[in-house]
Amino acid sequence: MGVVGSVHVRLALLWTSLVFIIFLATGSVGFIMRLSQAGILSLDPKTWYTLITFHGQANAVIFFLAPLMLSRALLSQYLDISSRISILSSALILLGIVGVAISILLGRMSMAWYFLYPLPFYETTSGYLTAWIISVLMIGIGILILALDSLRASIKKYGLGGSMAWGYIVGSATVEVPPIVLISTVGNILMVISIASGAVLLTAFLLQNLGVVEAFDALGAKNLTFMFGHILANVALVYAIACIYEAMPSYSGRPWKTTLPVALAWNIAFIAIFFAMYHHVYMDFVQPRATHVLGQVFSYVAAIPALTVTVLGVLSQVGVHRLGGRGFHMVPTFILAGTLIWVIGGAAAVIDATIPANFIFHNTVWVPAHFHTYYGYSVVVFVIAITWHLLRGMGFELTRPLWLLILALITIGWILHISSFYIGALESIPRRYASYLALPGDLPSVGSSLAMLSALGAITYAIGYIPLLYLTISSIYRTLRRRI
Amino acid sequence: MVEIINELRGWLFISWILLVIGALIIAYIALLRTGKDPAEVYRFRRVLLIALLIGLFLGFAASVIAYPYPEFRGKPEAYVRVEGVRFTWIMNITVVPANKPVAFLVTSRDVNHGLGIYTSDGRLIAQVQAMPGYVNELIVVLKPGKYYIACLEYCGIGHHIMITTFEVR
Repeated sequence: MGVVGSVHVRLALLWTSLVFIIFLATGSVGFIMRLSQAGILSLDPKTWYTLITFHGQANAVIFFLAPLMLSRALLSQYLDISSRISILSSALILLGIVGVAISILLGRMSMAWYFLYPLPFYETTSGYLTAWIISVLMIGIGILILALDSLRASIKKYGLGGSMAWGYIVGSATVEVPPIVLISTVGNILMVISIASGAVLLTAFLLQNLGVVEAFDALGAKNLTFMFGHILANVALVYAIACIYEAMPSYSGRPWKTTLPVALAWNIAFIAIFFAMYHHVYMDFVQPRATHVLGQVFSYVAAIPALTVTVLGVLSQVGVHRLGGRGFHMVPTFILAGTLIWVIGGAAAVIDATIPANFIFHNTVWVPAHFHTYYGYSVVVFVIAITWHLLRGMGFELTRPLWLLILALITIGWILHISSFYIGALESIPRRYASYLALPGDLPSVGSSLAMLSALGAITYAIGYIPLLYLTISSIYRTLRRRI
Repeated sequence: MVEIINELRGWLFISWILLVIGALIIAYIALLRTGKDPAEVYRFRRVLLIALLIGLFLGFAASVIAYPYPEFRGKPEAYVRVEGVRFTWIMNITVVPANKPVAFLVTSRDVNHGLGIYTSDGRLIAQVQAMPGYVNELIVVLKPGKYYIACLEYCGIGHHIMITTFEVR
């Protein structure tokens, strides 16, 4: 691997260390929220909703940044991406993260992670809201600069059509385009759209907060919110998968190149991820019906390339690795586990993207069920695997029983944890409720029992996660110290 | 309508479990078949692609029949105006006629809320967003009994107590 010890690798490793540490805090916050719902702790509603705001926003950002920085580290083998821009953007993003955390926690901002307009004007104070908007804009600008820098480098080398592998589709490919370039390009273009819509929205927030405008349209704001949030959440996986395409051949020994199916898959995914965002507004009956149909069609379409190209590709790579008698290695094993659980969450997402199903699952705990499946597990496990893939290039390996034990603990823990959400949805439990006590029927008791199950799952997960955190951070620390 | 919705929820859950089991079987087969003959995987991909296309098309066609939107639900015979206000629901009537299509005209005075209709035993049977500046029309047919409206879009620190009741007679 030609990237060992480069600035991009070091920066990615620093970022993943930070992300793993922050995740311990954000995860603990989730655990405390569940204990409160279970009746073991008693948080007042303002604190509970402030914590869920922190939990959601922090996790959305850190598990976007880790795959982004890891993919840039691997991308730097092929593209002349700027290390100066990486460092400057990282500093800007870091400042933004600190600003967001301080404004939420000190300002007790309780508007939930996607800050649906006009809720922030009711649930925050003006000063903290301004500080928060500026901090989020800093994170957004940092991400935008990184996406534009990668795009600049790939367009310079391959052209836009080349970076999107269009030559493979029309049969005129002359230069080989590595899958990581294609997949990152898809992610980067989507992120430019996402950040642009987020920036328009936040500028409108700022204008209202400063008293320049009185109010703006709630439905328009909601569409912008999901254009921003939906793409951000999906592209986190896109960047992680870009790294997987790059990493897997090191273990299987079989190349994973861009071919017609891969090129088609990612061009379809590009369009499907964008239009699938309309599945977030199914329950707004006044929204033009065509967008609802588009949302459902493209949510279904998104599943096709994911399963027939990426998932099958991972399975084939792992299969070759296994049959090749190369012995156990944690990287392909973790990637296989993350992929299988991703399919479970993806199937749940396809069901929720079906309009009549959304009618009874929207804003129940089915929603956190599916995204905790592939965020709390798949993205986390992918980030761990890719971090260790980079560390492996620097001479680190770990023994089999330990990694399997860690993987078993976090897998069992997470299955228990997410099953509390899936069963909760079957019981009609709404999401984002500080307490279930006012709900009808047996929902108060069912809700608190499931919160307890969720907390027990999280403890099991943590028993696996804490040694993993220690191993990863200490190895990164030793590596970085050795290289300086 | 309540029975159908409860059955639908069960079936959706079962279909999710079946999808998961199907995916695991596919994974198992794919893992066994690869490595020996790479061409086998591509044949498998074609089968998977066709199965997915047929499954998703059928799923889509079946779902359209059950779309909850007003134009798919027939003409209402009664109207209820509901307005969400942090953290309560204001209804112009609290007794709703039974066994006939009733339109809930739903809006909000402040932030986004979600109107979720629950049966008295705690089952969610219908929902629609309550958005400031817009009126969403939700048409339902309800059996006699007591029903609850719970807020289904996070609206602030009293979100979890924004619950009211109405009677269907």
